[in-house]
Amino acid sequence: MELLDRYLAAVRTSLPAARADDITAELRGELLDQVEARETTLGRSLNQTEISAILKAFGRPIVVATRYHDHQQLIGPEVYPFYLHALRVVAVIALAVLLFSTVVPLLTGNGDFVRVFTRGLYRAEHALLIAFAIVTLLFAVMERTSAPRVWLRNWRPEQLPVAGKRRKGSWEAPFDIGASLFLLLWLLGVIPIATDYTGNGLHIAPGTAWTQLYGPILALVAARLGFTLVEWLRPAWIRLIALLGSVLTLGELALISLLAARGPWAVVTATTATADQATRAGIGINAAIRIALAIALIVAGVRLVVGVYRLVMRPATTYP
Amino acid sequence: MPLEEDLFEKLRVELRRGSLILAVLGALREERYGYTLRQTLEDAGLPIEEGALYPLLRRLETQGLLTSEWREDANRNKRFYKLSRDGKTLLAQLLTEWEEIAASIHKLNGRRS
Repeated sequence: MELLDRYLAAVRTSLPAARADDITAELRGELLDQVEARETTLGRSLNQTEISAILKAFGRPIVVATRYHDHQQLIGPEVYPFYLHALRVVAVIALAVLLFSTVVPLLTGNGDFVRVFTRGLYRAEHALLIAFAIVTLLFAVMERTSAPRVWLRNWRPEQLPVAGKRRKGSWEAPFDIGASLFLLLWLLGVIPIATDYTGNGLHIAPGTAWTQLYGPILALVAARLGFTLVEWLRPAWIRLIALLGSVLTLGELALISLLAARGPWAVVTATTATADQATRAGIGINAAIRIALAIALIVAGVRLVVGVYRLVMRPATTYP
Repeated sequence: MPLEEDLFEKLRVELRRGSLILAVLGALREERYGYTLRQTLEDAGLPIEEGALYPLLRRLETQGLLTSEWREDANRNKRFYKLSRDGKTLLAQLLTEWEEIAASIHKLNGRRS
């Protein structure tokens, strides 16, 4: 019965420690009963192959042992839909941040395409793996606590988005969050991307307006991130979203106005080009930025009017 | 195996899975140990894998529906299981539920119960 002992020893290693002896003794009894029953039928002792067949039919040791554990699933069917959704969201956010941190240096001319692209891919792979691992770990912990059951019960149909109202899709909202997150991380210096550009005999650097208004810009980007989260996670908070949106747009209007009054926004100096060429380039770039700021001002103004109209004219169905 | 048979087998296993607890509790109105319990279920047309039966017995015991004790039988120590008092009450409730489900299914399928 050496094979039987080996089998039971293999089962024992994966059993809950406190009950391992008891369970192993019971399984031994069952297997011996099976061997004896077969021996009675055949009228002789079983050989090694026949005992092996009985053990094989009983099941792989790890499978047999795992059935004695309280938790047999890392993430069960109740939690799985939320896990899958969280994975998608995290993947889109991570990819959006990486996309911007790869594309922006290329657009500003700060980086060689192949190098930036391969580094981006490498970072994307690592970021996704780490993000997935963290999400999986969190949900595995949730699976082992009563949190999911409580969470599943505690929802209200009133929290659902209004039917027919256009809502950001499952990709759009996480992508917006990823974009805002990228901007925030860049402003905080976590994602290092140079703001200066050198090429064609010129050196272009941001003007003092940007550093003077660094605080308000940072606050506004953080507020936009928070707003996108509220808008996405609590779509039924119609009036609060309209109010926050209007306040945010008002802030953007103020910031754009402050920026517009503090030109030049780009300082162009000559490296190998002539001073005249640098001056002309500076005028062109700042004119383009002035036009962009004027357009942004108009867009923000229209958004503010629409937001206030919604706030005043459309009654809320629910409140936070 | 054709798809229909494969699907039938899958659904049959699902259908039987829920009924096995009822069968095990019913069979343990009389004290038995694992091997004889499995034989009883098999003879009644409800075979169960050993790998599934023993953890199920442990779970039912933890839930207070079964009691067990180690005792010598045929020169070997065996763990005997029996329905507890709570188990008997619950079995009666489950059997009522079972009969009601069967009656509803028959009714919905236009069969006499």
